[in-house]
Amino acid sequence: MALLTDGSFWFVIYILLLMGAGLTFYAVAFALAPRKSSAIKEDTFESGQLPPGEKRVRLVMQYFVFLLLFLVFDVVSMFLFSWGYFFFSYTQTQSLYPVLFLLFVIPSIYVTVKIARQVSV
Amino acid sequence: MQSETFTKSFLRAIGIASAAILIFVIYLIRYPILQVLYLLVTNPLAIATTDLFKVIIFPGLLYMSLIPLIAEWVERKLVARVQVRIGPYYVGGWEGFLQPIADLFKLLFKEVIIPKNSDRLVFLFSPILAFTVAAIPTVLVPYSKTFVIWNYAYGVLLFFALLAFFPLVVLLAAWSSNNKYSLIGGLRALYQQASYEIPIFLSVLPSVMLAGSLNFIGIVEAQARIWFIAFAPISAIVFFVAMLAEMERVPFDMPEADSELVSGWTTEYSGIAWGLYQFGIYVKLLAFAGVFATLFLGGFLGPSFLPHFIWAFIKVLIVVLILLSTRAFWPRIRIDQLVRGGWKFLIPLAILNIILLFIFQPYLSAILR
Repeated sequence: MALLTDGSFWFVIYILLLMGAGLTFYAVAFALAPRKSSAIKEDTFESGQLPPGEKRVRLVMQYFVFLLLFLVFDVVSMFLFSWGYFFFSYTQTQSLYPVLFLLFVIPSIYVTVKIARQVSV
Repeated sequence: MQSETFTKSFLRAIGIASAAILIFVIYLIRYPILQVLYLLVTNPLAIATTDLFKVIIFPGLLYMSLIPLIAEWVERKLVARVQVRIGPYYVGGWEGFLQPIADLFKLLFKEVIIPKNSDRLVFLFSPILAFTVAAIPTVLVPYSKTFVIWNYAYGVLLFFALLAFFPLVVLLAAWSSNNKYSLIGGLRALYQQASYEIPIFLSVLPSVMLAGSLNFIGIVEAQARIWFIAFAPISAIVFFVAMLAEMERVPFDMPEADSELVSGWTTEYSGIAWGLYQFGIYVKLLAFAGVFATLFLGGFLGPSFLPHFIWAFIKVLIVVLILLSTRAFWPRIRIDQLVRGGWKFLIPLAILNIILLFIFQPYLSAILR
């Protein structure tokens, strides 16, 4: 019963209910909808053309640099929350270093984006 | 045929699975159900304070599934009127307001086509995952001090964690459907959501700084004197733009650009599988609008002549309306403009607001407390 007083119990119930609702929609649709399979219907859509070759092709990761940037700055911005949480308990001189760091972030983003443009072309 | 036997076994499996989940959930919540039944006899008004009511009816399932249906009708009507069309007109009598429900039934009676060489199980389960992941953030949005399903102490962080799930679902759907359009759309969605997650993080930071709390109700209560949009207007704009990009709504709808990519990563989906995706998009709209209203517009606070949950409802509806109207008024921008714009303009703007708050910190603490 101690579990029931915690909100996370209802969180789990909510997720289970959502999954159950999705599955029920599927069950109803698969039971009611008429099914008639044919080769053309099950073929991959390619705007009326016959799809040539393998579909799971290797695509050029044009903006791959941005994904790397994301990996770095995602962690950085999460760490900022530990400073922002205690914003009013620090004095201005104490929180000068996070702000200097933030100021340093902007030119580094600009430089990386410029290099990314040179690399990807 | 092979697909016929697959369909039969799949139908049996999902029937058993949904029944098992339902029985398991009823077993878990047997005491709350008994409590509600007892209250129904003794004191019906007290039902609104129980947790079961919150999960099933008000900030929970019923509300969360009704608002998207209304929002879809409003969007179609609004876009039609801006483009000098009539829009939905016949179903339901008045201005075709039952059109989304008619569409839902139409989709239920349509065949779910499974393309050949696709990864069937992943293909069929990713719509359910997408719908679930899109709906989970509504758990955290407070509609009053009591009308919140999970008042988690670190709700903002949980919201970010849930945000990171969506690109994964999109990639699963894109990869499993074995289609070039789907794959290109999925990759675009990945870039877009990866680029715009950091502006969201940085634009939420001012609210957390001003409130000194990571709990959504704590953030709302800190806005009792002045809404945070007054201190963080740049952040509010950045959050709004990044929110549009995260939801793949119109100025940023590259992943499902209808004129280039058929319909992006949902190209191969049909019937109720596509319907669940579409439903998920509108549920996500509601969740994000709730978060925006909570972080910047004072959440459930307002003059006392109306109860708290009505104020929250009004604010969420206004944000939803503004989000919907973008569909009618803006053209689509290019993918490189979008990715570079996110990094070059939104992140510096979000940082600018944080630095402004740092500069005015001594005055702020006098105004806030």
